Amino acid sequence: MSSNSAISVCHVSKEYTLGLSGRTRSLPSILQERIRHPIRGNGKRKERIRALDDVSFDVIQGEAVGIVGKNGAGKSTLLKILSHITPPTRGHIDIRGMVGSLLEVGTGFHPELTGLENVYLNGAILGMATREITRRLDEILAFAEVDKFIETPLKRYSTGMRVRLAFAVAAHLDPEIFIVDEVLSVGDHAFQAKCLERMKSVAANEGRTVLYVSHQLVTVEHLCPRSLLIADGRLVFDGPTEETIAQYLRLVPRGEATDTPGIFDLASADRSNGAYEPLLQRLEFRPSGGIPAASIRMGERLQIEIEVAGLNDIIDPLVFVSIGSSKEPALFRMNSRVVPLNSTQNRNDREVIVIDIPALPLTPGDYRIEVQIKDRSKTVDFVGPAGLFRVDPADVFGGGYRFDSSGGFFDGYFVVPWEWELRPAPDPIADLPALASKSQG
Amino acid sequence: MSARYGAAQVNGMTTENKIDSLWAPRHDLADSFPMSQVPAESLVLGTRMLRIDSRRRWFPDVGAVFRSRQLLLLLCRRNITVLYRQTVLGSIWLVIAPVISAGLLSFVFGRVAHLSSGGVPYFAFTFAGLLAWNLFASSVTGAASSLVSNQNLFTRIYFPRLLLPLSALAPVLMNTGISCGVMFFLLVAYKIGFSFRLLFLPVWLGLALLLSVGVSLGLSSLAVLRRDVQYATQAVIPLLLFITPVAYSVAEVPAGLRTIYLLNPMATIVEGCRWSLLGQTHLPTLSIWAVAYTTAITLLLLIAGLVVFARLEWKFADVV
Repeated sequence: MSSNSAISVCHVSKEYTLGLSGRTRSLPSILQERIRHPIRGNGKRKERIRALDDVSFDVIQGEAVGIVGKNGAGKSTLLKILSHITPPTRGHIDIRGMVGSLLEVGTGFHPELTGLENVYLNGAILGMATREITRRLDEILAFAEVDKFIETPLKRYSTGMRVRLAFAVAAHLDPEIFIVDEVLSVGDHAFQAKCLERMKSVAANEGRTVLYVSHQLVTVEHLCPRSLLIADGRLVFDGPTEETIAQYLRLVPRGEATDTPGIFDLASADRSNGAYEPLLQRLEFRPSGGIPAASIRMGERLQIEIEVAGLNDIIDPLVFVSIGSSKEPALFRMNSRVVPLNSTQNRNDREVIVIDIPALPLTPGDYRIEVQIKDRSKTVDFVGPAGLFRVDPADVFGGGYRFDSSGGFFDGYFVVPWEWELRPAPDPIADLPALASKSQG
Repeated sequence: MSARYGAAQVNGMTTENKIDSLWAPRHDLADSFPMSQVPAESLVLGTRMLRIDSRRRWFPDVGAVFRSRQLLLLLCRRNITVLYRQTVLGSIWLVIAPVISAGLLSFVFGRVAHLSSGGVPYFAFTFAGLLAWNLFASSVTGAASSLVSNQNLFTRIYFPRLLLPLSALAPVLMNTGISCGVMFFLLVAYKIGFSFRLLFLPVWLGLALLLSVGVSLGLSSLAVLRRDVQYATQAVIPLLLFITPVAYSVAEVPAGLRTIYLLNPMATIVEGCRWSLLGQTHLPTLSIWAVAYTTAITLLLLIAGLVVFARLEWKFADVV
């Protein structure tokens, strides 16, 4: 452990025994089985699953580190071990400094207690001293916006009020090390923003160590310069958040480039991580509807062909095709609810979805495409990115500007046709009748 | 005019919708969060160092309980406050409940069964017996489920888990305090009076408390593994009343069985309370040996409870 690390995780593994912790077999059920199968043995099927596998990392004091990974990857287990809730099976963690962990907000809230009583209890559970709570009580109540109801039992609060009160306490926590699970996803939008601001100031200005888990990659990117990627219990990547997120997005089943540029193989995508059926077969980019290619000029017509198998077996399929960048998975999305996907000919087991975009409005850069097929609400197949393509600069407006970021400008993701002109500003007093007549006309 | 109005609206949108900045692409955020510029020395680290590993303890961290005494106090207060919220009689129940049970037991054992109370009014006799008995019985039944019913706490955040069974004792202690008050009133009302022996009452009640803590800790942590423990506790504890001299005196127990009878530590404790309050003595009961045995078994159970708790504590969150 180096001298300035706040958290030092050394070869931490966590195993769960399914037989022991999952389900307790009751005596009646054991007897029943014994009577039915008198010869068969006790049948101890104790399966061990490894939630975390040899994870090591250090967090320097004052650093904000994000943790990303899919559901069930082991993020929460790691946070639980770091929060001292559950012990590791092997390895150890050294923590220097007071830890405040927020795996949920409002831990210990009791419906029969008043708002004020709950603030004290919740604060104390989170590790605040009573005196500290009293000192910051006004701040907390103002943050929660529930001043009028502090003497009302919590059970009479609305869900929103409860969440705000819970957050208000959490937001005034003052630990040296902040461990936060995805708790920011509750509450209304404005309140979320308020909490995020507070988190940001904790991390940035007050120089506290922050470990933050979230599914909202944007939030992680926002708060943490460095991130860890956890997959199947292992730490697979540790580095700048941008790279971690790029790695994370690669964990989804993805199409593989074939020898022909612009043609991607979707049938052989690794679907072992999700319960997807390999419906999607092949993806082709055809600039101007011609031969397949992996790059297209700005504003050019783009034809995308997606070959599917067995789509005709689904009674009411939904097809989603999203075009995105490396940071934003869906800049725009084509969806068979908006434009019904119809067939003019007899349905077949193997079909091709042909998408025609008359003029591609994207600025130069690298883009990805995601394809998703749903059967009502269930996702049957999902490949993302299914294919990658590049948009090349072009003088789309005919004015010599090629959108190639040569001037150091970021031109946005989209180019839409527009017109503008300069006009003399109307004198507000002299031109009043003129303006009035103009607005009438 | 219309053009201006449009512009103002656009401005209004951009200032109001600050949330949208969260979703802004990265290049906009680069300068607003200079996290990497925070000097590492800007915060003086606390000296506290915590090691989390897989080692199991043999004894709970009693120091941590002391450090978290404010939380302990708040949990105790919660347990007491919650008890009589939304009741009309409120804390009057604290007086009514023991009076009712003492009255009922007096009726059954004194009037129906015609047992002797040794010259003391039967109600006072029963009430004195119930003092220590209620302390033991309600704290054990209450504390046994304290961990299971608070699992949403200890699976979400760390604090000394010992606080949960300990704070479950708070309402019982308050009950005992009130009952002592009622008892003193009875001593005056029945003209029994007070004696120096009253000074020993805290000793007996203290023994009952320690015994309760030990048994509670063991049962509450075992109940985390298997809920059967809770149900067994709820079923067995009230029955123990009948093998404890609460509503009858030890004198009623056949002489040949008394030695076995006194293996129950609560027998000596209840008898001791009655001795302190009413001055009744049954020498074999309160012999130095019986008291020594009771003290020893109490301490033994206390240590056993602490050890069981410490050995199981580490996996509470995983197995609950």
